[in-house]
Amino acid sequence: MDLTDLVQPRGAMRAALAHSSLLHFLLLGALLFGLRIAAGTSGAQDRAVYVSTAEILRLEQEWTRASGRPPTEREAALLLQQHIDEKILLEQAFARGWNRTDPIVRQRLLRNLRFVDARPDATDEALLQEARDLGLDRSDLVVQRRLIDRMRRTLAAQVYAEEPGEELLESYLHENAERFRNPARVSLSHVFLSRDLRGERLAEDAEALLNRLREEAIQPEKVTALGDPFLIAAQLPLSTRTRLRAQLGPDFAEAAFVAPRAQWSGPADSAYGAHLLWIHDREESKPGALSDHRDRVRAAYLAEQERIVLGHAMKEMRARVEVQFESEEVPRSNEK
Amino acid sequence: MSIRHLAACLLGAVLLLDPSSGAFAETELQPRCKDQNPLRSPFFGDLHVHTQFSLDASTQGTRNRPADAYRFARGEELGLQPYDEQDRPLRTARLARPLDFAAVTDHAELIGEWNTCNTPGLPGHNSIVCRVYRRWPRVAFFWMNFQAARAVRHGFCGADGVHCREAARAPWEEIRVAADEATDRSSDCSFTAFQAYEWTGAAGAGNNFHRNVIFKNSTVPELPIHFIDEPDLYKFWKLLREECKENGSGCDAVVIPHNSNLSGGLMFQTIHEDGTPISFEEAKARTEFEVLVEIMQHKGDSECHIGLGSTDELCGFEKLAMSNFSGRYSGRLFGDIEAPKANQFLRNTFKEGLRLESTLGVNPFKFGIIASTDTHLGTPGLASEDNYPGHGGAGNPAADSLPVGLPDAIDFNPGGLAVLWAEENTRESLFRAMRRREAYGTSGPRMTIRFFGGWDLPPSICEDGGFAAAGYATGVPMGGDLGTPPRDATAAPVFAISALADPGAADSPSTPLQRVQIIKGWTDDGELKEQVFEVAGDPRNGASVDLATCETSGSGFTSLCGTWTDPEFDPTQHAFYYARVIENPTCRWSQRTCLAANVRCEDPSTVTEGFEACCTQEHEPSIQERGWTSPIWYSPAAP
Repeated sequence: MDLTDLVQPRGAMRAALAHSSLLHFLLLGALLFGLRIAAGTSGAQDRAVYVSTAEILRLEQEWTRASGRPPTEREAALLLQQHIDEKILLEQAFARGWNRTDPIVRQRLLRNLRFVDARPDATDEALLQEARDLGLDRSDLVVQRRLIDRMRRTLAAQVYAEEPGEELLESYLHENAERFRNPARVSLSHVFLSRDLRGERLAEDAEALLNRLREEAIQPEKVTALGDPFLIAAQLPLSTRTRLRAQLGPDFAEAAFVAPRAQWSGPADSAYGAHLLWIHDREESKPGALSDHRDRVRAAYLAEQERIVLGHAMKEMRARVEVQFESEEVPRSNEK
Repeated sequence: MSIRHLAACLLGAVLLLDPSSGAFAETELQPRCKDQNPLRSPFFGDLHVHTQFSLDASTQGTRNRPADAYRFARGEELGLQPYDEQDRPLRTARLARPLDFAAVTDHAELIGEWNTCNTPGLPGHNSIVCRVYRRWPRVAFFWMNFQAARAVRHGFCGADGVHCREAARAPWEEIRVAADEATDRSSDCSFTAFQAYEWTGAAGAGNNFHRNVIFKNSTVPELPIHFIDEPDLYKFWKLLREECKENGSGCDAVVIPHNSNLSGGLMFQTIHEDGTPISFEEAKARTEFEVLVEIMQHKGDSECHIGLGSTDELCGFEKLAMSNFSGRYSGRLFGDIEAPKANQFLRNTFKEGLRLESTLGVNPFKFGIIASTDTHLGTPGLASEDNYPGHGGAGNPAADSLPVGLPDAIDFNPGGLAVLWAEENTRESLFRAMRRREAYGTSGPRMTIRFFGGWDLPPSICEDGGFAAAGYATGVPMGGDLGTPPRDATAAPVFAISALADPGAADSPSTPLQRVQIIKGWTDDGELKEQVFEVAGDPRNGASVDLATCETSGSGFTSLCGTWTDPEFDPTQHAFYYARVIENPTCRWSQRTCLAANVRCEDPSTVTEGFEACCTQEHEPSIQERGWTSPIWYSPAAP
């Protein structure tokens, strides 16, 4: 049985196969395994990486164009190392034959070739060979990006092989508690006095109104008639610092979080004017619970694991792979 | 019961009965966010963001993937390459104020065109991969769109996990997961992320045809429908309908075109290449998904252009000299840059929509308005003119050194923001806001804008308090339709607009507003007309900015409120009305950078290399930032 038969089984087997999940899984395993053998797996000879002077100059030029200044020596060295890392990954991808088998690479090369080569009867394989002969699998940027990305994913894949357990997530949450805190909140009423309308008199008017609110013990629900018209509601629900900053600016937000409860205080300042505050409720900031932030904690944990695993893998590859430079004078990172 | 309470109840009833929301599974009408607001709050976001997955993003090995872009949008610090030996970034960036929502809209190239596996005749259709995919789609699904976690539960990985070490998580799946994980589903509702991508169509030589596809939830087509070599918008909408809206899965999407200013006039066509006009069906097809348009972003403003249908001098804002991408990149070489055309600008497009409504019976250009950045750094919402790191640039220099050249082409800009009026910050609520077009865009600042229109808006709505409650109770918000006028022959629609200046942040003070305008477009016996009306504020307040220091001076308004009645309303004419809010003048990002490099145009010796553009005629050193609301439309009743 060859690969073609795996793909299109004949006769009575067809019906059985179509309905057997177990058989599907076995076939898939065999298929994957088969493809890996055909493609040439890891452990293939680590090809050397060659870096030309032109490449290095281009790195620096692109940086300068994009950020408005040339890179510092350290930045340049790190840019170069990054570039070399990517080339190492690219060679690894080629060693695995992904330039021939990866579906996205094939799509890309075929699309480019069909655009250039108008023979409608040319087969996919013929065109792909032409693409490889032309070195398009090396020079095309999409292909490069895809192969490098796929290599990174493959190296990091072990991170996703097992679902992280509760204890791991809890401990990650604990170590990074600041990122996942439930923020403090405050709910309040406020009476607004407009800077536009009152100008110089604003401070005086605010003080006078504050006194009146206190003396007449005016309840916060009854304040809509007082103060100046304002687009933002007089009653604000339980809001975080971030939300209050976004609506009324940092000064108002800070004042709201230190104002005393159940009494009139202020004025708090905003770009729009002065606000007299009545705080209703506070909610203290507390550490986030895993149940509230599970998705984000899991994602952050896995991302960190990925970074660690990838870092080790790159270090290991750098030690194994030889890097040749066109010119000896070109600065390079001391890291190997 | 106060008018506010009554209005809130009415609004609640309206939301339940609103026919436009009938298509949604009403799963989340009960409030679950702590700061849920039945009168709706403005949520600020960015719906046009590129990360490492987009090829034209930085080619310098940026590592920012969708999850990183969402972290940045939430207010976390983002590392920018290069990375040192311990894998720490040399530079970082951070938003002064987090966004409320965002969508990563990477190009589909790297995501792969699995649709070709289902379409005979397309390249790759007969590859072994596609044959397996077609024969055993479930098996292939695990193989190609692989999520290792699920596979483990099915015992799929094999003894030593060898199968799981193959390319886990295709990019499209990663995009979905990043959006799901960044969305806060607790009652904090601090952030919402949408799964999305950019459909990158182009027609002819470099005419922009791009639109962003934003999905309502994570029930999305198996792979993004990608642009095939021939531009075919109708096929794209049809596929989107078949693979999303009509398959009963709860999938829905909005499609947001952008950069009509670079479309060479082809973005909003009303005739085919052979000269035949578009049909009713074709016009109708657009309306299913294209409910919003991105009016402004990094590559310029598309609202209007002086001399192309408009005399409004405020239309000179963020304009590019050419009409399409190839004009930009090759026009200069060959000296024949094609000038922009009238139909590239949205005010004209809106007018054209009115004409089609009267001739065809449907308005295909009934777009709500948003803005966004189109960042290629993976940094959503970085729309400030101050400290602009450039489009592909990577933040300010680590060392203290003078900039050595502008970090971006001088006629580009940091981009703008999208704002949605919604009850709470959830996918359901925000998406509904998109579909009913209750949205506006800003050129970067975070101004708050409310806009209502109706036949019975109280004339004292600005003074009464409860502006929003009264607006909802007696009229329609931005994005709405005015409906039939009352029988009274003298009835004219009344509009009310209330705007707050950006409240300012710790490191950037609020800029006062200068004025508020309403722009009317209408049909008059086959002719298309427009007019700009001043509604509040003072165009001649004399506010200015000192270009030598970027200090602003002059009076302005921290908030503006005004009502306006259409003085020449004719119930037989189709019309639209949208509001524009203008800030006092401030320094543009380019002027700030030129000044930081000590460039003084009066002294040519200070114009160092890389800063020549600072002193050209075309350079606009000062701007007036602004916001644009979605229009409110009026159609005469059918005879």
